[in-house]
Amino acid sequence: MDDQTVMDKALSTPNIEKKPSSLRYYQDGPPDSIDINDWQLVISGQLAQKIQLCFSDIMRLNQITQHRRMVCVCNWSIKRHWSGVLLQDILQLAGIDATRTDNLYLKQTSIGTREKGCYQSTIPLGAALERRALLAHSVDGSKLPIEQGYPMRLIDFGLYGYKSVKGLTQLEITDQYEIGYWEKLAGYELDGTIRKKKYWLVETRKHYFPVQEGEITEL
Amino acid sequence: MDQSISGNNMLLITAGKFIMGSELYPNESPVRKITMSSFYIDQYPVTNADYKRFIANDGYNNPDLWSNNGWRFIRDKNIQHPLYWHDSNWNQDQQPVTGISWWEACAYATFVGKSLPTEAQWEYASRGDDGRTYPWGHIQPTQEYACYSEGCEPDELDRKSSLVTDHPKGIPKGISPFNCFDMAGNLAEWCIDNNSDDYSWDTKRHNPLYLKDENLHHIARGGSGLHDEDYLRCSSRDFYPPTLRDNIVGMRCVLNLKEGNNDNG
Repeated sequence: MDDQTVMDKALSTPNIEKKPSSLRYYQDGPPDSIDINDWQLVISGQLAQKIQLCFSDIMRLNQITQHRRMVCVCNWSIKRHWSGVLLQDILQLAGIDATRTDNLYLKQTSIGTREKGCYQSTIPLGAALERRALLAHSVDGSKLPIEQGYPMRLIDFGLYGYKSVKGLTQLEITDQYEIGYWEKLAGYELDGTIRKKKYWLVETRKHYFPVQEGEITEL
Repeated sequence: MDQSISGNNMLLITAGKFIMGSELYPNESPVRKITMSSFYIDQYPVTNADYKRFIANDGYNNPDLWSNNGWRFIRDKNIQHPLYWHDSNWNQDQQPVTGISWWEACAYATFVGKSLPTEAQWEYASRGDDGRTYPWGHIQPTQEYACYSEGCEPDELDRKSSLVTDHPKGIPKGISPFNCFDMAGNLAEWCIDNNSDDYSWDTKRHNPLYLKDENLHHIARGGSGLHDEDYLRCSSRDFYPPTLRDNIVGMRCVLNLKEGNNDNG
């Protein structure tokens, strides 16, 4: 095998051809197309100055790949190789002091569509930083498919997927813990912590019952 | 074994003992032998046609039908019908009602003079007293037995529920031992109980009920068209906040006879 083949194999996820609903489902879209040259991530709110980052700005930051498990509130889960930048690195650019996040929240907004509007979700900022939340642009070595959040999505691995916005375009630092799109529509919890219940593991085709709430790290 | 209430499609579940739970997952254990009093249960899930009467009779505007928390919930959100009430994939007369929070399910049950089942009542009605895995026995499920998604992978994203009489399809022994239809798949069904990590709280083993706070998560039993085959097992447990109005949960009611439930929680 050549190096690329070895790398592809190392980053692959078994059984990924089986796609649970939320790997295909995109509540507010997805947008018909996204011109990466026009896309920006705007960071605003309770900081000294609003900043705007283009995709290449983000790609110049420290890039990491993490093999971590995301969990859907629909009771399935998948462990994949997510590549991107840490939320803390993005916020550092915006001058956020990661040690002073009490009563601060992170409101995420998607690119959205004309028909359905934007998807928004707000999460506690300090907890997201503690859990090393990621702004992912790639999965298993390839850029995110549009239905999974191209060009970038946030993932807080301690929360169900509906709390982490696909097709991200705005982050706002706020003191308001606002109810988000999916909570408002379907009554899911604002908190979104992964609960102790049975999940279908896509990559192993087995069920698993976690030992505690929050991110599943024991597998 | 059963006796229906004429015109109400309710079945008598006779008093008896049954094995509740399983050793497959921590939240289904410990397995215990439970003593149950008699009760009636709906033979079918509550349909949209049933629920229309609740709306037509101003159920959403009658505070007498709601708990304080439930009333506050629907008032704050200006709720006047289930979430999928105008969606043709979910609103046909003989489809089970869905898009209802736990509070809406309770209010409907109060409206018809019934209540939600306890988790134990639901499991007893589903599996009877012979320890079967699924309502129809131990045979692995197929789409003829129930509406579910193998591997949590529905064929279509634009899902819809089946009719309450659709499952089991042409399998005479496919209904529960008490003759209940559609207890596996299609829509999970709200129960009264709050979620519990396991059954260690149940020391009396007689009409158990675990209810701590209606604002906490409540049990939903039976799996849905979005969930996989393991959720079809009679002892499988799932839970959601009482605010949940997604198209994965519906309801059926029970009518309790004179002996009440013991609240062990």
